[in-house]
Amino acid sequence: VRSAVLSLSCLCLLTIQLLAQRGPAAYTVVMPDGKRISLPYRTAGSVDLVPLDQIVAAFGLTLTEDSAVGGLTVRGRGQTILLIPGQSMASVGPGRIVSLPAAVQESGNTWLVPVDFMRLALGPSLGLKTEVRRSTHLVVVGDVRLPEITPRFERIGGNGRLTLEMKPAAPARVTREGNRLIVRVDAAGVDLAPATGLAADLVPGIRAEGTAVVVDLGPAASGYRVDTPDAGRLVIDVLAAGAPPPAPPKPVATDPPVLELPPPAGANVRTIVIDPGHGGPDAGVRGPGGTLEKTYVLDLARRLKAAVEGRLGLRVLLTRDSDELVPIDRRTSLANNNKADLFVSLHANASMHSDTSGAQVLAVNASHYQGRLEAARAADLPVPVVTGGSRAIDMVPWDVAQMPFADASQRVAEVLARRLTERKVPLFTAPTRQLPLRPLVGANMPAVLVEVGFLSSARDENALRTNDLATAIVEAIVDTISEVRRDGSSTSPQ
Amino acid sequence: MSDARLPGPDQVGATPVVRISRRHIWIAAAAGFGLLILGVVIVVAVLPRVLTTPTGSVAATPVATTPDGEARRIQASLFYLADNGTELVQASRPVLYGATPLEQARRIMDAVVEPPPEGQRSAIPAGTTVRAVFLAADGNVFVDLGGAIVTGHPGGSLNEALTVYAIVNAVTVNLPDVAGVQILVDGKQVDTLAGHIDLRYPLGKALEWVRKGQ
Repeated sequence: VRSAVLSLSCLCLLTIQLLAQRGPAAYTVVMPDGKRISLPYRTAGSVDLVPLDQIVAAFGLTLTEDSAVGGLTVRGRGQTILLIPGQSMASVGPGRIVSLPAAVQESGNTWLVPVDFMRLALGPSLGLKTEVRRSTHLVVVGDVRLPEITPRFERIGGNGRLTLEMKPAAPARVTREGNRLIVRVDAAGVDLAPATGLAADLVPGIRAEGTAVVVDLGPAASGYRVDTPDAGRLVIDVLAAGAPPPAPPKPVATDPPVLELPPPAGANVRTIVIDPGHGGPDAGVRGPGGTLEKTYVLDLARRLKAAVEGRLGLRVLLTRDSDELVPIDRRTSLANNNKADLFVSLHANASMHSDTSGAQVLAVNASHYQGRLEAARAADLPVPVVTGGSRAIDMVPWDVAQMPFADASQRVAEVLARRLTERKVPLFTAPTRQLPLRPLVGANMPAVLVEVGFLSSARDENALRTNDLATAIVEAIVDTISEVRRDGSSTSPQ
Repeated sequence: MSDARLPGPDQVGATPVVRISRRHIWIAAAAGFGLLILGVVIVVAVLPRVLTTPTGSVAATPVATTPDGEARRIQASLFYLADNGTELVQASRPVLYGATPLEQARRIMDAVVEPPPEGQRSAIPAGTTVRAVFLAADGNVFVDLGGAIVTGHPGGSLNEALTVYAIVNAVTVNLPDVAGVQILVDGKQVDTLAGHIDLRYPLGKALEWVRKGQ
């Protein structure tokens, strides 16, 4: 009997230990009054899930489970948000549906929602601007000034230059205290990204302390100079004894301002989402000369954004504007939530044969997803209505949202292939092709994927690096958007 | 799973008279408790593993042999990279015989990941292994491959499509009853191999990738 009790208690202990090992990963939520709340999370695939009941409690709302329709209702401050377990969407207020990057799911006796639920559904419903910073696990609610500070260190001659990029910009003051520089930021706190490339002799360390950034000075540092070339950029030159001081930093040319022109009559294309493929640890293709797909397409995306904004006066959003890996579904949901009219994903191709070359425009192959769409339609899912009861609607699952646009996307692909030829961009033997493309299938608008050329070919790689070819590709895409915009029918769903 | 045995026919009708003492009751109680603990352990530790192990999978089965002792083989169509690197070519190759469609699918996949024959180039990254092959009731085959297919992949939508369809076509062309093929990596469903081709659902045969007129 004793051994049985012992073995049972061992089992219990083991279970407790296993459960304890999972924690403690948490997001910090900064509320409008500056109060901080810790929100545990769990990563499922590429999405962080957080407990709904804790969010609801933090905002002073109530959560009720409606067993009749199997829905969850968040109420308070005169607002109602409806969630359905297993569905990746939220119904906000009367009749606005927002798609979430993952489904609402049960875990133990709590409900988990993607952390972006706060940004996409809760924040807008309560009229609070909400920002989710996944890299630093921070959620900023309301107008709290909590700048994200990215430090960058470089050597200039014998001196060191520490650049602090602040997003959003906040006033800052630099003072020296012994062998440390204190950068006091006028904000509720600072969100400091990890520093790279520090030098032990000049700046061995940098860290956040409350609302200040503390910069340690190394033994070679004898003085410092502070410049603010742009709002949001603080440059600290750490001067070494004997070295001539470096030239002051120059302001960075910023993107041209977005032209908020009223769209001409009949124009139904207002927002374009450009998706530079891959990013972060996923470099994509590596050319024989060292060109990385992720870097090349990001540069091209920035040029394209400037061209479309400047010349066509359209709103352009990038799915990533830095070297980071953004999950595919987050890229398409950015386009869906901003009601984009066209989604253009930029990639570079690779072949095992080093002579394969040329650009290609890809669209989604609808037949591959037909079964998935029919299964969803056969389920005839009733959607709870906020006023009570439910109704059946003809629904397209969000993960195959591209389906109704497959023909429109193919038409855009054909226009683009023609425009590339007109701009003398060499094309691959099959200029367009339909494939089950993961980067496009979640886009609720016409979507194409442009393979700008084969980075595996030294010839293509060299040509792509020239300004002429990059400009021709940008021009061809601008021409295409312009044509699609004139001919409104090509962007309508089936 | 249990050691309990039914009495044999020779024991029935010859039940000896047993005097039940208090000691016997204690022994029986102790044995009963022991069995209960064993039961708890089985339910907690063994049962979940048994229940989650798929039944329709083939890891390794004995090789069928011909009467003269040689391993029995079939001629299967496998797909390699064409010399231009932009399409697949079909090649007939001897593949070990499998007694069931599932076993045959496994044999074909083993051949698909093998180094290519002289004069051919494989569309599958070197070092790719086959962990398991499953057959679902709806006729879809699930091919579970080792992580090298992702880490060793050179990228690009063209290469990725050629890798995927070299696998999908090999299974679907040789086993006409197979509806589709879904590629898993390290036992898990994956979005893609290199960021382009959607692997979340089974893919059907795609002969447009194979060079015509061979």
